[in-house]
Amino acid sequence: MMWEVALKSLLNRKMSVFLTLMSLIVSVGLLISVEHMREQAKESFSRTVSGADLIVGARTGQLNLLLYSVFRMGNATNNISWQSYQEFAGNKATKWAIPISLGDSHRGYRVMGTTNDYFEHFRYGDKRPLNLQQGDAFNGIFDTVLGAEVARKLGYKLGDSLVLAHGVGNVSFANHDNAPFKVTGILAPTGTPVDQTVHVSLAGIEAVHMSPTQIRAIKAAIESGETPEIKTKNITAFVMGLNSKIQTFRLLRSINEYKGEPLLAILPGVALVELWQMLGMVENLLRVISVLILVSSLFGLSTMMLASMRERYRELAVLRAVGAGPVTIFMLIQLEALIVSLVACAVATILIFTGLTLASGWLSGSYGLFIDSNIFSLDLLSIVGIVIGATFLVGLIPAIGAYKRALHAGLTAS
Amino acid sequence: MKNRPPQPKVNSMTQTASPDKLAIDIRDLKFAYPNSNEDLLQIDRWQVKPGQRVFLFGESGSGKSTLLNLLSGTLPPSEGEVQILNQPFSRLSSRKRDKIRAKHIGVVFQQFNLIAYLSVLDNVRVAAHFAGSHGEDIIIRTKRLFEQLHLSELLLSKRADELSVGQQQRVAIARALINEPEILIVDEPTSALDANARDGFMSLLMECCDQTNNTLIFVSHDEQLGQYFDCHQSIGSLNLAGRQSS
Repeated sequence: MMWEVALKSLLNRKMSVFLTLMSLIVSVGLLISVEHMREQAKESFSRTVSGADLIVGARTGQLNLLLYSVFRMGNATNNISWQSYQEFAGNKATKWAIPISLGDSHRGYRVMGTTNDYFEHFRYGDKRPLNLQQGDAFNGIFDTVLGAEVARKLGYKLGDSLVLAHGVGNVSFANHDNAPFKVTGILAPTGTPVDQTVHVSLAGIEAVHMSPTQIRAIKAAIESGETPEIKTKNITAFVMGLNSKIQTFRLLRSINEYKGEPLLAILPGVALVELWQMLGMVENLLRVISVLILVSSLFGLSTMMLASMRERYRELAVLRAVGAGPVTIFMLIQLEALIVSLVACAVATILIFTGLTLASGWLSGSYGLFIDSNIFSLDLLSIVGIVIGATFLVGLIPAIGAYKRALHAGLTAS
Repeated sequence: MKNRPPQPKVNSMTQTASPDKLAIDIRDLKFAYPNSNEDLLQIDRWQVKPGQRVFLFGESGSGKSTLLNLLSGTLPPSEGEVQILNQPFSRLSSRKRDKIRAKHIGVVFQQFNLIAYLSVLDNVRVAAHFAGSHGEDIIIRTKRLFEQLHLSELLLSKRADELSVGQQQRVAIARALINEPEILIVDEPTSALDANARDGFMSLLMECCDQTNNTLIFVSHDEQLGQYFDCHQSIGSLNLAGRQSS
């Protein structure tokens, strides 16, 4: 019965209740999305490096190395020599080593020179290997394997040819026009930056940076059936898997103390922790802002309830007359506040869920953000719990007022 | 303790009235608001027998609304005692007083007796809810009361504020009587009605009380209405507060 009375009382004040509800939906929705994005960002970063024990590059900050080598963010400060790579790739402790050569792009997508080891050893998510959806890994110098998104967005099929651009901008004035690549494979989607990468062989990367005459010579050699040997001089970084975790730190030290050239080896997990710490401040700021917005909407709810109290004095007197105690009056007011915020939580959840479901394709396509639309988690539950708890607290203001009124004014309605 | 023989229920409120039973018994009552030391109400003794119909005559400011709050248990006296149906009403917890009010006392105000946003039926159901009765039974009882009060059943589903004032006051009686209370307290129920409606309302009220045989406390400043009652009482003469000082 009291539920019914509370509901009808709210419906009787449709407009102000609706506006309060909207403000609560926005603020609860904001809090839920901030929390969800926070989780998703971490998840998205974590899933990208899986199974790699060490990442090695030119000496720089460990975050910088992590970001440019794996996440294709930012640029390498310097290259490392092929010799260094071979030295450590040949180490007894090394199970596999994938060289990475960056610096070129194709229509806004980064180009990565590597070897076929990449397709064999690179892992993402729960140690999942890369899968070729179509075609094969590269055979020749001018072969390329596209990430799922590159192929989809730019509409490439197997056998199409494409031209690399020097540098990583969207528009480049130095295209490697005279050395087109042929698409030999397209990877299955992974939900990581791999999807946005154009993979070519290390030899291909070396070749496009040669002089036109040299390129012509190489092409001629390929046409006549030879396999021209192109030596790789430099790479940007390499990712290593070790036979045993125990050797990680020993190898890490020996790389960092390498005499041949200044190198930096990082543990991806440790670098990620540093990344979280850096993002943590931003996260907390977003969190604090969304909590404050929630608090302000809850005060709006309280204000709405309080503003209606004066016109409800008669109603309270009637309820008292038919036998309602002050506690019942208190609960009625709290019930109304709780109904509003429960509805707000439900609507916000549904809106975000459908919003993310509808926008997930667009987000991954346009921004490379892989957001899971499943927001139903313990976190969501605790947010709803906190909102309900906070509603009770701000609901105390009008509810205690009504309680006191019921206690002292009794049947007096004015 | 466990084997104690069952005691007769002394606080059963539905006993038939015997001569020494009283509907209302006020003794040495004083009331002052907590932050004031001036008594608003002081009554040495006032008794109302079951089934009695009392015309309580009083101007506003005579302590009328305080007396009504004390009788219905929404305010406790500062001193003395209010007994309702031979129970130490004013000494019970406010929770128990609320319960007794819900079950045994019906209240009708001057106006705005109904919760505007609820349907007429829901208004009656709320009263039944606090008295602890639920179910189809209420609808049947409400329809019967509506018939007595010359109200159309069609009104039941309407919002309370869609009714005319006269209809609202009659619905208020139905609501007050839904739990078959022993005591009906009515406060200036006709002040918002015109003369015609007033007479119609009064005769309907008296008919209802004839059938239920409950105690009626009718408060008004309109002496004309006294004609319907056998027992008249002026609050002014009942209330001793402020006399000593003047």
